[in-house]
Amino acid sequence: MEELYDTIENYLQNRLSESEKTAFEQRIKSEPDLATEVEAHRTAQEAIEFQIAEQMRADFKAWGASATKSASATKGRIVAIRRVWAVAASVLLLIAAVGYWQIQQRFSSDALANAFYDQTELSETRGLDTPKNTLSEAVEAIRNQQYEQAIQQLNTISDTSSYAADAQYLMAVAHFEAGHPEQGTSILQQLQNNSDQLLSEKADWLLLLTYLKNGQKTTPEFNNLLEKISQDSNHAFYPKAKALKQKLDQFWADWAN
Amino acid sequence: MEKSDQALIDAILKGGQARQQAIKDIYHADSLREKVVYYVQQNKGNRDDGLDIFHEGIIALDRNIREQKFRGESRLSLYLFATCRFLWMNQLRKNQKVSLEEDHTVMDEIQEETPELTLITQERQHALKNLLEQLGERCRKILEMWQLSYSMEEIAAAMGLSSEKMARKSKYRCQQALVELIKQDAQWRSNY
Repeated sequence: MEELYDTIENYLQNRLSESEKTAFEQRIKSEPDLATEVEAHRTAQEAIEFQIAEQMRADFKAWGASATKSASATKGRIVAIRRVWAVAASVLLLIAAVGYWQIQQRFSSDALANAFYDQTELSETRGLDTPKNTLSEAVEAIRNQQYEQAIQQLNTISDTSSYAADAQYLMAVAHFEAGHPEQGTSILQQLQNNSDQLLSEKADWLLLLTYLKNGQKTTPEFNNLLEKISQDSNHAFYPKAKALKQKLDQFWADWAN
Repeated sequence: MEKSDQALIDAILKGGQARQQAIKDIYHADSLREKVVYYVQQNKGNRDDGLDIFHEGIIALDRNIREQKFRGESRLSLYLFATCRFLWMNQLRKNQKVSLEEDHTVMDEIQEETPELTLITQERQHALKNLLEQLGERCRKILEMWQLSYSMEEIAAAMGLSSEKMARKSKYRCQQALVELIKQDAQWRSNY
């Protein structure tokens, strides 16, 4: 009988080979008592599974209660400690606040983006060697922090101009410096595919700083781009990306926004 | 979930204490639990409903892994979330006559394996509960441990039996008792 039980169990749990299964099913068809036995075992398994589910529900209840109990015990201990150490905590809080302010200054996304942004790159814009043109006027306006004026001038440059891509890049620069970098995101994403390698790499870098300034340093977009630049030793911004990565990997960087 | 999907699946299939620990790890996946709770709250439920559904989802996931119904075609977390979503929509449908079709847009957004679920009616649950009560606690525990792939040695230790042989004998007797109860009960006999 025990052997029959094992066979039925193996059959119900799909552990018989194809030939064994076929043979057993033939027997079920021709032996009504066996068919009854198999169905009773099927119900028995359902009952055991129900028992397992009930046990799991009880476990979840116990784990949940223990987590709540442990949380409230911890809370109780914290309250007691808080009373004793109230004064000391105030002093520590003051020290921590000063420390946090310093961390913010050094590691906040905005501060890092500004620290790694270099305006001198504007001088590498093409076409500046020709005397007085719209592009050079826009660069001058950016240097003088007249961003709206720069954007207006850049908008006058035709899409068919040989400097159209440079004008687009400067537009993103103007948005970045004006404090609304997100407006340059789509421009820079398009420029990443530009055939001019230096321009596309400049777009990579400014886009990375744009993400950083926007507080997106934990997003896949930011991290993938940082990985891309910092792993390509031929990239124009490879050293800067390595330095930025090093800075972000510092423990304290996680504490800043 | 901190452990890899494969590590969790292997532990559940191994059974015994390894499975218990894997279930505990899944239960403590806070972000997934909160995601389920948020989904339920956004769909006419409250936090307690969300927690219940999360628990029922883990129960279904555990069984589907043990019965090899989870084929590993999607991440475990996505599969569990889809299971919970299905269970909740099913409950809404039962309680409020909401059509499951309503959730199709959401179901289509995430490419995942469709959970295969065994849903039993309350009436049947009640009958199974009666059956198990008649069987007795000791037998329930032995059969539960056996089904969860605890070794005979572990069963003997947990039940205070002198040897693995005794554990095997007890398991057979309990199984026989359960099958006999089913065969004697007119309610179950009418099923076949």
